[in-house]
Amino acid sequence: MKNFNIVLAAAALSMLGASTFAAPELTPEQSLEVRKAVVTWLECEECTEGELEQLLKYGEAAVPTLAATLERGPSPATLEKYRLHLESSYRNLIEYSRTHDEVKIDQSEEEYVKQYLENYQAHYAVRSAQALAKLGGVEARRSLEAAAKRKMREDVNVVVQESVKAVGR
Amino acid sequence: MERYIRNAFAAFTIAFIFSGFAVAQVSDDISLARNWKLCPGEVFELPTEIFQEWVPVGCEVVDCCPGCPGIVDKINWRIHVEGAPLESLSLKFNRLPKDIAAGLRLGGTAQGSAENMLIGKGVGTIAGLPAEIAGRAPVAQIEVGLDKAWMQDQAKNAGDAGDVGDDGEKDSGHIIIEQYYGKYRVNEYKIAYRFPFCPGGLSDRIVLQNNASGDSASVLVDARRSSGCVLEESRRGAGIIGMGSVLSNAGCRSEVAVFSDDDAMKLVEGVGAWTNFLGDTLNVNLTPNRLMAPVDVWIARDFALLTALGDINNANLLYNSNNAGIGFSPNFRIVTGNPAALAAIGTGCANAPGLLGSAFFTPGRLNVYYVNDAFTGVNCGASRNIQYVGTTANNQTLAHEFGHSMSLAHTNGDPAFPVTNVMIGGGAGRTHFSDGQSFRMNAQCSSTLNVNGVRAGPMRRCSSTIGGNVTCPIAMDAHCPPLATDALPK
Repeated sequence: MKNFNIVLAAAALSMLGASTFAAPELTPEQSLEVRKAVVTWLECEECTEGELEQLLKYGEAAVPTLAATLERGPSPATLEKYRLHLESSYRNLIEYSRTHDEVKIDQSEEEYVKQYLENYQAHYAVRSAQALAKLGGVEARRSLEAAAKRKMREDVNVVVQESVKAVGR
Repeated sequence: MERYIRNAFAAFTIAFIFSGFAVAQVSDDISLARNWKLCPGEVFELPTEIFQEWVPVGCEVVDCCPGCPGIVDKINWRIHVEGAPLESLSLKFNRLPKDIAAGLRLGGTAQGSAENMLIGKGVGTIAGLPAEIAGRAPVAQIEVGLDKAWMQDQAKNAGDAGDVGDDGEKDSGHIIIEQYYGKYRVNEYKIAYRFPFCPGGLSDRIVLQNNASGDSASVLVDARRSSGCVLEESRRGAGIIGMGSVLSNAGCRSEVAVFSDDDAMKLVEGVGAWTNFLGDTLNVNLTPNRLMAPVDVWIARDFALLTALGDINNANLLYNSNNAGIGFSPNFRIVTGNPAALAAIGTGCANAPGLLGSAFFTPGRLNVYYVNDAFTGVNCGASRNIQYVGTTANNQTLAHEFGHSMSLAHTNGDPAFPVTNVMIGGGAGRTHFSDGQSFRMNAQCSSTLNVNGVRAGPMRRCSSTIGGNVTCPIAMDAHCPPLATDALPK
């Protein structure tokens, strides 16, 4: 019954596609569910546990967050969490290399952190674009088309261009 | 009017979507960020940083709060300090603008200032924190305070109790920090602490020999005590480890697994050293040193060599510092200028079956392909010796894929695992393997360590593993520690 509701709802939402759509207000519980589904998709590695399918069930409710993420990347707090992890990892590697010859550090801390932070931002953009393409609708398309005009890393650009082609109205 | 009707219909439709979901209990859905487990006797000797964490201020997603009304500018923290072992949480904000720091409003058990705040047991609140500021997000440095009287009682009672089990929930505490915009939770953080009873004393003992780095090794013991058969009793020690009173096997399983930095995992089966008298000693020789898995790293993307080197470094650090007893010896092979190699390698597991018989795959060792496609990483079911790393990988991606190659599955959804576990199928702050995972990477028959002949030693057919194209014989011993079995910290 639950899945039936979702399918019906998703079908109904797709009928709204041609209109200007203002995402309705969600309750705290609904907002939390959408956030969790979005973050799970953004963060998953191989994504073999149905993360995208789970997110797509929320339809238009997930579009504003994905569009914002495509434009701006991870939130400052999330980015800071990863930065702290990278700084800690680099310091641990330096310490470890003093007693383990197989570890040779050829990057400064700044280079190490920058490289992985850029990958993380690219990863968020790629995942946002892929989900928006699947969700479709006017807002998703608008967000993807705007992204396609921005300058971005080549690997991200490839995915955004593919997503623009794939996105449904 | 038409737009109004459409939006009203959309609102109804979205409400309909959610009506199909049983809304989860909000307070029970917070993933563990860290999970500390310590014997009471160890607590007073541990470095203070074990109890320190850094928690960024602000929303988890960039638009802060999906479907929230209004513009989110300020958020409030609700901090829970709960459980008998915990007394308080001290908290100090960094990078918080002075005017905001001066305007914070504290409630509940919170008192002090942004530079020096104390949250007592129960719930403390902080109102007026910024949802976002320009530049790096502010962070709160938090440090948990233990109830020293409780800890001393616990240590004393443990000493009196003999070889009995632990106290379960009575030994546990947790810190939860929830960040709210009004009624909307926008971020959260949870750390769990557990202080189980650990039988000690030097009546019977395990003596570790040739501990290469002299580290505090993790020891899992199956044996018989006065209370009956015990499985996976957890200890730590660098040399002599007190076991209290261990009795002769008398039908109980009797084995010891030792996990130590710079040493291979040691699995001693059929231990016969224990008697019903005190003073028994089990010597465990930790040679050979760490097992080094050979890895061919194929660089099929421009400028990926430095990244690959960093990823291998981090994998070596993570596996060794978690006592897995495993390292990786890379052989870098740059093929960016070789069209035949690029064609054979492709960009993912679809190419794996064809790769297996090609000149661009080395049998009997791990093969990693750095390719030019926007994904993080993947280990291939066609052969667990094959993994691809894409352009958006994080610094734990390769370590994660190696975990799959050595039979580990994802730990998503298992509440026993914190989100810092390397085998969580996502996230960018993964630093930890459990001893249950280390056991499987070493002993599971389908682990590439065994399949490739890197390891010689008893094998097992463990649950909660992946096999790829290798199936363990049904007759093989299936006894393995539970996946989440652990002994943190070192």
